[in-house]
Amino acid sequence: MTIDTEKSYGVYIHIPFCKAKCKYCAFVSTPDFSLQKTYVDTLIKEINDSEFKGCVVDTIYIGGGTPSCLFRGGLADIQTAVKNNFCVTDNAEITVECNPESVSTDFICECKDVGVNRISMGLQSSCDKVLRAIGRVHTYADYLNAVELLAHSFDNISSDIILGLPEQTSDVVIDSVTTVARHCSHVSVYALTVEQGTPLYKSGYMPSDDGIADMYDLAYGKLHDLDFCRYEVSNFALRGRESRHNKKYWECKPYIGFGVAAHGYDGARTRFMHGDNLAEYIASPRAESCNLTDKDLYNEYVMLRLRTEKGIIVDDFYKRFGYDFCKRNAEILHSLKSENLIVCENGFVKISPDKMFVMNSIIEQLMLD
Amino acid sequence: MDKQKFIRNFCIIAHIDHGKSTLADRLMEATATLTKRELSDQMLDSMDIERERGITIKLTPVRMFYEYEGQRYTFNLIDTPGHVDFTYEVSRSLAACEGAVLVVDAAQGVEAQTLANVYLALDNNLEIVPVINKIDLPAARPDEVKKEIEDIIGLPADEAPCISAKEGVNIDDVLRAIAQSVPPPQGDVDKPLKALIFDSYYDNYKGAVCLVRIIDGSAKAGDRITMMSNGKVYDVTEVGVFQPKPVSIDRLSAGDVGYLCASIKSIADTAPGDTITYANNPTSEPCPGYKKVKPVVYSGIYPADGSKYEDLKDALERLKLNDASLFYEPETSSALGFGFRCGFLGLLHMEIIEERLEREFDLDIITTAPGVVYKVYTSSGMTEVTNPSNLPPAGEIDYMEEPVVTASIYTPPEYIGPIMELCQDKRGEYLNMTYIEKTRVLITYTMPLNEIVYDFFDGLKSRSRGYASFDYEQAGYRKSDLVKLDIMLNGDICDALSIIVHRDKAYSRGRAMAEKLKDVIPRKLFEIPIQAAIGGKVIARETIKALRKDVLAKCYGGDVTRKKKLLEKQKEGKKRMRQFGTVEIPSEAFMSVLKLDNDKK
Repeated sequence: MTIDTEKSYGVYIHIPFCKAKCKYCAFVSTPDFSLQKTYVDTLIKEINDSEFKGCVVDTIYIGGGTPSCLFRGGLADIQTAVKNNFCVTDNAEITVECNPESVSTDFICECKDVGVNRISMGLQSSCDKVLRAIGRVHTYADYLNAVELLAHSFDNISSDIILGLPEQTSDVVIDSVTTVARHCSHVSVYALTVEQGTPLYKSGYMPSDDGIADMYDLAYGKLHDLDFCRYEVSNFALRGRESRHNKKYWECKPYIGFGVAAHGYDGARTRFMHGDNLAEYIASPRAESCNLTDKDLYNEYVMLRLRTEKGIIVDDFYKRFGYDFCKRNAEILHSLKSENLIVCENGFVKISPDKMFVMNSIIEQLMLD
Repeated sequence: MDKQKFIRNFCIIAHIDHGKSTLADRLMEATATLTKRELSDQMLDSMDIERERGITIKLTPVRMFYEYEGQRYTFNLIDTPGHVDFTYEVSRSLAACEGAVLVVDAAQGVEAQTLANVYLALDNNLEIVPVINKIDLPAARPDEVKKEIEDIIGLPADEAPCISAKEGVNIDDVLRAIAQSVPPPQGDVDKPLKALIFDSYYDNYKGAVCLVRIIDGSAKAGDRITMMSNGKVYDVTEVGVFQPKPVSIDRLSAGDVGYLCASIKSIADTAPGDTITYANNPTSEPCPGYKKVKPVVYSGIYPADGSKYEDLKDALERLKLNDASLFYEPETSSALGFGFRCGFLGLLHMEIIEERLEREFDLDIITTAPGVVYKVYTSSGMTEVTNPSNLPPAGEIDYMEEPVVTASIYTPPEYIGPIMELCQDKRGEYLNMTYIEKTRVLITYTMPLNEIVYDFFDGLKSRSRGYASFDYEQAGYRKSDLVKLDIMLNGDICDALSIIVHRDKAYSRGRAMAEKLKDVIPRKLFEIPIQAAIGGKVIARETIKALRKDVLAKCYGGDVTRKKKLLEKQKEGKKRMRQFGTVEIPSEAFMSVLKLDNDKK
């Protein structure tokens, strides 16, 4: 493990509580709020004991779950612990995720008090029929109220939209994208993954890939018209409003993960991971670490960087790996270029913009066996 | 001679599931050949696959003792395989007996295989002892079934024991009937040795072990013997009987059933039907009916992972050790690489081999569509073609012949319509229809074997809700208008998917295959045309549309590792697919084209 005082780190904190579990969600969350106090205490203990103590932190992301459903004062306690243990920069990007039903004046005040300057909202769809079908506990009207309330205090709001949901039509997607673009400066547009074990999986629902691809093209076109630029396959922002925290993932920059199921990376050869059992986390909040081989480093870098609009920066690759990406992959790059799947120019290697939604099979060809 | 008077050599014949193996178990139990504890259910069926399917593949003879009217009888039960694929093996084991116990299910009555086996038994002049089994079933109708046996088979069945093998009811009646009705063997112990091989198996220590019926003379360790079909000479190392485990004894004499070992290296030299005699003082005439079994169904077997070719080769060699009827030779396919063309006695035999390769040898294999042996006549003579890729160009072929069979189908009358429709659809020629009784009809057709190989069983089952039973025997060759149907992927012929079909069937088969392949071949970033063609002329076309979504969702909680593993796994999965030009073909694509009719229904 390397702790680099020159580097700025991101901090990710996971809050595994939700009022109700959405039907597509396979991530760690529980509706049992009685554990909230113990959980926050455990988080704070983990933060206090962090091996990265003293590092410079320039992004904090409190995700979930639903951080907005945490007891009042919880966010402040967590934030205080982070500030006490790390050098949080003045201009740090501090994001909190929330769901429309739990946005209140109290919540907004608490966020403002602890320095939150970016909000990420889960909308998923602007159609109530769709929201009901996936078990969301809010309506579209709830979202509009929440986002208007938030707009008084925040100028950097993002919202999530999911493509391929039950009952969702192309018109609904256009409407959702338009609404979000009107109220936010950042949009994440994800394709639904029907994860095994979720109620949606058990219901037998499976969206059509072509249908999702159509929706993605529509969303892309609409967002483009509204001056939202795609900077990663699923993320669109007005100029200057890209998520600095999420970019750390795709650019293989270091971040520290606190909380159940949270992951971390030292920016060099070590990744950290927490298990996804809440009780086990509370009993022992330490993350497991895992050393990356040369192949791991290479494959992760290629996979993550190619998700971004910029792609692989050949100079940056050279600095990290000590050899030329293009020379090593000359043959395969040549064939990918001839099929218009890849663009190599000005020191960047990137997926052709119109092939971003089919990037896996292209990335695979560049990954090591 | 006195000894022979009290020997009874018999087999049990039955339609599948009529209770043959259960009865065999009961007979062993009743004669204390095995105690209940030793008797793991159905002792005779020793292979897993046999047990699961309720069929017998390997023959195992058992010696039992039975006291009757103050005399000690030696009963030799020779179990027979219960499936059409092994008709020849059945006929050889019948030839080793003087009698046959005919088991008929008291609820189901006479079925296709019952009759086929009875005819085989009659051909071998066996005394038939009918037994009505499963009288414990609520639907049992023993008196009607007795009448069926008398009407259909023409056997007196009035005295037939009515038993329940499962419940162990009236088993002694069967033993008594055997002692009374089955004639003793007739051989002359003073003549030179004449022994019929009815089966053999391979033992790592003893070499090929011959299962024999001594017709004349006797055999003991030290005798110098010869195989009459090929003249090879061996020294007998051991003779013995099965009780049911092999027990070595001093001598096997005329009328006895047992085993004989002579350090024989391969079971290819101990073919069923062959005759063993003294090398220096041979019998004047071999046992009648010996023939070399030839495979009738062929398919290509390839390792799913090309690097496992040697493993597959070893596995086939090992299977061949115990199964002389399995044929294989190396072949190469542009789509599948190195593999083997394998010949089988029938579809069941093929399935068994495939299953054993996968289970016992842990191999992932790809099987190409099964085909039959076609006779192809060109200006330079006749050649037999088992692999569609070896068919000469259409222009060079004068004409072709395909094997046909006589198919006998037993069915309740309500399914006659759909079954005849199926037979017509499979190019069958109607022969006859007889009402066996009010509720059952026998329909016979002449049918091309390649239509039977292609999904006939499943079609019959679904059209008769499983009530129809079916049997067939080979009926020679017939001139036929056959063509080679090729499948082109992205413009190139994929040889492993080529089949030989009747011209009238080519269009519908081609279209169905193209449709099916469209579903199983993964989409790529470009469009893939799938074409079915005869002699370069496209008769059907489908298009696999270009892939439009292939992207991973967000990293929850910064979990990069999971995503990377997903991609690595996906990449690994693609390596396991067959790369054909720029198209990847999953293994199941080759199988799925065999099951087209099912999906349509």
